[in-house]
Amino acid sequence: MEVNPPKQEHLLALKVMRLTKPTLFTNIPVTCEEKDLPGDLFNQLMRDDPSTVNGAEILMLGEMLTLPQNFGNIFLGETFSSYISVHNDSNQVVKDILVKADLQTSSQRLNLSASNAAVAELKPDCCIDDVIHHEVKEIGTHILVCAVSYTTQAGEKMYFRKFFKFQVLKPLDVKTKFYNAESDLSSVTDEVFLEAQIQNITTSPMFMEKVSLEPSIMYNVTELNSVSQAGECVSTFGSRAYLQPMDTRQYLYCLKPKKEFAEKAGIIKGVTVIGKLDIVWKTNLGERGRLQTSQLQRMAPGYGDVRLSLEAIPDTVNLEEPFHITCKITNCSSERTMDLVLEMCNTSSIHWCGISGRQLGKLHPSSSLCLALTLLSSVQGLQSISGLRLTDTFLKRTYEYDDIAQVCVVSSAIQVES
Amino acid sequence: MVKSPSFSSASETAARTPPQVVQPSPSLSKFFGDTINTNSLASDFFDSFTTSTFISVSNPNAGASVPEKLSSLTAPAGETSPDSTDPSCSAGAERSESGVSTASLEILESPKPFSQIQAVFAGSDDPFATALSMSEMDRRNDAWLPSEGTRDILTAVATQQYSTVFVDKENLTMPGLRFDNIQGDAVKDLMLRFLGEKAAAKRQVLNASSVEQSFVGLKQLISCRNWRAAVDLCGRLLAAHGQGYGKSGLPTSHTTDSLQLWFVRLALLVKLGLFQNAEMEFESFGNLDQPDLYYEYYPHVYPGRRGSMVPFSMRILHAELQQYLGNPQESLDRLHRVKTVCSKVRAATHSSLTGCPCFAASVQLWRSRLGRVTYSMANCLLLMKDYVLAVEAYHAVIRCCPEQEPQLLSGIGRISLQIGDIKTAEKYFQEVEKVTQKLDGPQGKIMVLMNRKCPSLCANNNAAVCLLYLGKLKDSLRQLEALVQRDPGHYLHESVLFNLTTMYELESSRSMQKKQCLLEAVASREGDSFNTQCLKLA
Repeated sequence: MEVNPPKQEHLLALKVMRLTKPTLFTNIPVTCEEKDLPGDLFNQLMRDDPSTVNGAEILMLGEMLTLPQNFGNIFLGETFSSYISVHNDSNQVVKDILVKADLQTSSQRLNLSASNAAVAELKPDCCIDDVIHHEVKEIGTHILVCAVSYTTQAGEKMYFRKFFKFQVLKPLDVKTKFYNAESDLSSVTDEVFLEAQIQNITTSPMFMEKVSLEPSIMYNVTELNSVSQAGECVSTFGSRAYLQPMDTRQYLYCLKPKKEFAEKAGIIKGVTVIGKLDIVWKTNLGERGRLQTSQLQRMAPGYGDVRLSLEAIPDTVNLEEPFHITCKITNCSSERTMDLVLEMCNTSSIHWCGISGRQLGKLHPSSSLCLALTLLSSVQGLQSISGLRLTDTFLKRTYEYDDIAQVCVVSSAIQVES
Repeated sequence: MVKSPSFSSASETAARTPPQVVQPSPSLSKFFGDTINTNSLASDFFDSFTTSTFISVSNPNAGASVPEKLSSLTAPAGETSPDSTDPSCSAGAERSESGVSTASLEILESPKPFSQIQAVFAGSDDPFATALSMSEMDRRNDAWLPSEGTRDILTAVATQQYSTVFVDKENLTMPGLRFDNIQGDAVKDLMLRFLGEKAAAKRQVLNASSVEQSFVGLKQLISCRNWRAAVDLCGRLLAAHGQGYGKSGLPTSHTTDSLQLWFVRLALLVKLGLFQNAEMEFESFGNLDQPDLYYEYYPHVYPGRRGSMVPFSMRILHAELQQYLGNPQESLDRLHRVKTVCSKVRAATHSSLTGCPCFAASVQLWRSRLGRVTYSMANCLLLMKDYVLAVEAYHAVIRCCPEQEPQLLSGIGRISLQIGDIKTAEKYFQEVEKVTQKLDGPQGKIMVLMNRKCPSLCANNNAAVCLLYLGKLKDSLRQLEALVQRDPGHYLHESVLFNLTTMYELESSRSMQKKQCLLEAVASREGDSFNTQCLKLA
């Protein structure tokens, strides 16, 4: 055994123990039947064992709590709890004891001690106890610095420090995906769906207590992760209420722009802030963790200066029979009045009826006009409507609109109600 | 997640054997008229039965069909009462409608004549009748379904008088001890290191040599928790049987007693946590289905006796061992096979014995065995951390063993706590209260009293843990120490000592002394099976 020459013998000893939640003791049940050699002995041994459950000795999961035996893992969002004990190992009374606990991270230093006042005196074999809690908000290296200063009976001032280093790991992996709903044909607003994929990257199962989306000021949010069944709100995840390590779950939210912002919604450009996810989870014996993502952003699909959307279109049409659609053309710019010319180009399956190349008249900024168009399809099946061209006469710029919508074309033998 | 059993059941043969009618052997009459003598007559009785036609082991062409009734994974719901008699249940009637195999389940048909004869002799102190009823219990206990290959070999063995049988060595069980040493006493070793030779010398525990070299001595060692010594003694007794160290792979024979010894040795190894050692010695036993593990293999030693020599609990042990070695899926597979056989035998027993006096006992036995298997499966799923399936399985156990409902509901509550699902845990704990209130007066009181039997340790231990989390180390220590001192015989338990030593280490640099005190307390009371790791002296 190595003996390091002590730099200085201290009268007080500092001990630190992380207080992760305790675990439940498990047994190994071994039984036999009466006719077997041991007879009732095995069962008697299990009954006498105080760690088994009375009346259900074969049940492996006991009721006794066992203290944590090692530091374990700590994850971002969890609470770091630790027991700090200063014990008077000597046989003299020690005075003016001050215990300070700080947490040093890569970016800051926090004071964690509950009280900053010095303890007047500490008798031999007595101790000063403190339990500190801290919600961990950073990933990476953390150092718990415990400093003890005291005065001996002789009046000598003493001081020592201890360092405890630990790593904070990332508990969850969050991926988000945005989906644009097909425009609601009766209103100008656009719905955006957010799919959040959350993966448990810890080593123990996690119970997701709450995952919610806090929307930004522009949107209202509806969560789509529970279903009403017999009056009760039932989670779409059913009986699988927890996430095993490496499991992923998808949460779905629907965002609708608020009325005040509705007009702008049709012409929102660039990056918009949608909101942030608030995730609360629990692990062993209720150990709580909480995380919020940063503001989630969405790149609005570019509409350019001119936007063409469909107001009305039938689902199914007859082969080679003309049908009508209604388009809405919006001037998305804020200052320019536009002079637009509409051209219709035929494709191999879509044939436009009407005059191509006509002028649509002046269109003021942020306003729109509706246009009725007639066309027919010469090919059966699901056909894509393409071939509209809008030319801005002033800028001499042409916007092409292809694959605006789909329509199902059936043979006229099957009569379609028009 | 639970794989379906790979246990292959033979398909029904097209040609059914002619219904086996139970007829008394012509020589029976000689027993009915004369005064009954004891043992010699009994063996004559058995001999004559083995040559009569109704035991189909002598008929190599007996049908190989097994009953189609396959229970689902969950425990069967409720039994038919013994009063509902199956109309076909009378001596001499065949039960071809239930599809009971005549070959492998003959054991269940043959009780017919015995129960009839038993009825004749009922109430007498006749040793002959006692011998009959004893064999009835054996039959019930040892009932098992051998696999097809094994069945063929057993059939061949029974018809040996017509042709010699060669059994491939691969199909034989040839076990032997795999480690020879005296297990030692970890407590004494620690004492030598920390308390000195004098103190160590004072430690007196029973070892394999200090007890009677018999089952009696073995039971002594087990009950005073000197399991290492017990493992040793088993080893000696097995060596006397010719299956000692180095004997693995050598031809041998098995008896009821030798298999019980193996069971005890392996069970104690598991209790001691020596899983690898147990696996090594289990190896020779294969799937516990080899022909030489059946009574039929030894027609001269066990004339007329049918069934498996392997104790049912050994099958459970064999299955559970795998989960402690990190192969829980293998455990589940094995448990599933055991459960399938149990269900089949139970179903066959049901249909063949309804209305007979032994019905109730048989039903009870197989019900409890099914319950035991279900319990094992639930525990295994818990170990695998498949909490959803584990909870479902524990519900199945509640259906099997309704008297344990409060404890099992509480257990499921604790599982929810472990996941972090506090709300569900609360629901279960409330359910427990409701259930305990529902129990009838006396039964409810007994339950409450039972829960108080060893109340102090668990509750006090947990209270002490809570005190620590509140920052009250000294109070916590006081509580635990008082507990341990109050009844050290009972309360020097591994988990409590783990907590105690952890707190000693937190408290001061003088933890070593305190731990040594604990060692002294342990030394004078605990057997050699004590898990010294909890003292943290290493």
